Amino acid sequence: MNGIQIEHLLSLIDGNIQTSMQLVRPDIVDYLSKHSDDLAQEIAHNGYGVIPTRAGEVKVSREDLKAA
Amino acid sequence: MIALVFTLLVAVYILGPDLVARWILGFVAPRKNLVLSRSEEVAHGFLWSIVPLTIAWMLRHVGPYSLAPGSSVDLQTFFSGLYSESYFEQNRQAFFSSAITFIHLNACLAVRLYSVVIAASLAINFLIAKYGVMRNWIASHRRLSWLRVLLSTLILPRVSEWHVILSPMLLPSPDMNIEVDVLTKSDVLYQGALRDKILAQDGSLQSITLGSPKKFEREKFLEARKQNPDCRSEEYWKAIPGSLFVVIASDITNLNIRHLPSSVRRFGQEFSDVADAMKLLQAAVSKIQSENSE
Repeated sequence: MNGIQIEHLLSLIDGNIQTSMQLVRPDIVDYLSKHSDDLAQEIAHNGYGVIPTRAGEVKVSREDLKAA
Repeated sequence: MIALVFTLLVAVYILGPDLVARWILGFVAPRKNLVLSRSEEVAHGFLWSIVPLTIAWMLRHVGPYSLAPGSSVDLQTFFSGLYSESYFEQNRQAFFSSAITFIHLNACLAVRLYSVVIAASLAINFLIAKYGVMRNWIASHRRLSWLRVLLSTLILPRVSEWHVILSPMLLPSPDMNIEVDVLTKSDVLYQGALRDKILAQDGSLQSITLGSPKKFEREKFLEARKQNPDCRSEEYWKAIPGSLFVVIASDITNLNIRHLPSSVRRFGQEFSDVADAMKLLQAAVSKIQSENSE
């Protein structure tokens, strides 16, 4: 693949990232509201927690929370 | 003797720069992921020697190891001695003193040539490594869209499309989960996080390795759906013991690939409801930490 073809493919991947993020957004909000106590304990002890979603796991760390 | 010297010069000035450039490029785009035809490789090697050599020649009187003016007479003596044995016999002393000038000239050119090659290769590596970030920045400045075409044409190496799809190499952040659903020819559906891939010499996919693999129990799902049409397919994914699961490409019918940021930070930046939930979580974490410290 040359640079132009790669650029085209990257724009398709950008769309894929946006679609995946929209797909798992309700899962993240739902998990954060229902399991916030467990997750807070996990983050306080380990420094990070894991949010399971239908499209894979998403990590949440102390640094992520501070940046929010 | 002249053939030996000529071979040495070809190695230093034609083959060497390309090898050094490829070695440095290998840090950001491993050789196994590049797909170049033989003619493209030759053109590449030619460009990597001619352009830096021209610059080195132009700078031969500047900086350290510079060449003293009037060295061409010594070079004529040196090559005449290499070419003709009788000339060598008659001018033995002049030949050996001119050899020093020849060595000096080559040191002068080689230092400049390889400095240019290393500097240019590192600059290209930097641009490739930061390509995702630059793409993002250019996307936010619509007037600069021509710059994206220019960069992609000049900077990006010829890589396999599978490497672009199945690695975060050119994405703005390397913190990306690549989740894959694989349907095999035996009609079995697997799911997992992409851990590795193997590409053939021509850039085609040979195999993929999945972490935390799961297999979809289709028969059970179809049975359950007969009883309850609203049953959720998510409940019929069965974890496969083991952390690495290799699927051979020849057994794959199709792939569904999802790119997902691995950290929640980017979700918080894009979606206000996620950011609000994260703030509440931050408050809960702070509360637990203050309780623990007391």
